[in-house]
Amino acid sequence: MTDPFAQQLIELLPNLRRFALSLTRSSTSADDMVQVTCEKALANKTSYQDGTRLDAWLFRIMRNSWIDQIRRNKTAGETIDIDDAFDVIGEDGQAVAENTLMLASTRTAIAKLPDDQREVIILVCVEELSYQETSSILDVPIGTVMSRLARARKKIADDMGINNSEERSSRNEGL
Amino acid sequence: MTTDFSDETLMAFADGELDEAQMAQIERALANDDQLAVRLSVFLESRSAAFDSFQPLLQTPIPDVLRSNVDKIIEAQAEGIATSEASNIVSLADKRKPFYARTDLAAAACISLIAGGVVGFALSGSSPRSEGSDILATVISDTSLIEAMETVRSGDEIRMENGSRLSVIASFKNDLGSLCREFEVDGANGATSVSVACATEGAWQVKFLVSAPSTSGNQYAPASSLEALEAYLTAIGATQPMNEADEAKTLDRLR
Repeated sequence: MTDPFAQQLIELLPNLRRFALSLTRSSTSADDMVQVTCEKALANKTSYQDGTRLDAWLFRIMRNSWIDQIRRNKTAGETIDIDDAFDVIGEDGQAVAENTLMLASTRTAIAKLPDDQREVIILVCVEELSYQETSSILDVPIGTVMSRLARARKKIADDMGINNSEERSSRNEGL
Repeated sequence: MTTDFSDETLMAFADGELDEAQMAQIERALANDDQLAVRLSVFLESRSAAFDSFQPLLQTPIPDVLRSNVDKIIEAQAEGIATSEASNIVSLADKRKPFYARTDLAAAACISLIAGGVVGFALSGSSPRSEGSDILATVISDTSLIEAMETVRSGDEIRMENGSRLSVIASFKNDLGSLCREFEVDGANGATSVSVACATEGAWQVKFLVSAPSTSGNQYAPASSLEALEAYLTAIGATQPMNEADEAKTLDRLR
């Protein structure tokens, strides 16, 4: 593979697939979105600006394509159970770790978030994009990214029992 | 000292998104305020939990069929083949769109296709005309359709007076910067079409149209029409679809 752009694209396939899974919550749709994204990215690679994060640019293409597809398929709004979607991992026998349960319950908590909160938490906390990058992927102001993200994380923390005021007050009582 | 920081500010601290002065201010506050530290931990821990929980997905091998399809797309691009041809190889396409998949080969065989060329427009009231070096295009003269082009938001669907159902899929600009709208029409008689119209020289012109006649109750344009559409969009240098806000602004300017 000599084309560096194509090479980078291939290296990012796992990230693209991961983001696609979080968007589509279906492994078939996710793989489709990855292909569509690769096709569009290659066709439009001249509009990619060197020096910016390629993954952010690709996520934007993917998200727009996904929205487009949702509009087309409005009547066919079938989504599969989120646990099944994320269980596409694991079958290879490699992913079974001691903390699998913990990881799975975090994923479930994230899966339960509204779409707009789920995508910000994925982009910022999982893909490690900045607020600014996330804001341009989603075409919303940074303030909106931040308020969605804060809400999402408080919900995750609640769901996971991370936190919080109750623990703290009981600790205080023990003192 | 005030420790009245908003959730967003604390979160931005956890994410390293504040400037140095703000970071320092919060660090000082944290030294004296346990409650603030507890609030901060929500954002630190939720981030690392989210990050960790999705890491295994990166170790998951890319399915062979996906990898080989991507390789084919890359090869096709490298050889300068149009992307639409590459997508013919993509076997997942059939699984992709249940909405469009409800068609049979017979229907696919008798679709009519124009891309810039002219076939009578499904809705009526259109006439071919030639302009400069542009290939033939069809000017929309039906006022209700013109109104729909200028008002209906992408994702919305309306019922036309003649009983057909029109849904607007997306708005984008072509390489000349003209506003274009992709839409589908399901005629009252069961015929269906996928079209792109662009606002050029003060008129809406149908630049692309794939229509499928009514066949055995089949309501949907065949999947191959979307491949033709993709090829067309690539050929005219179509931008990514506009978001809602941009679309609203652009449509307002038309009125």
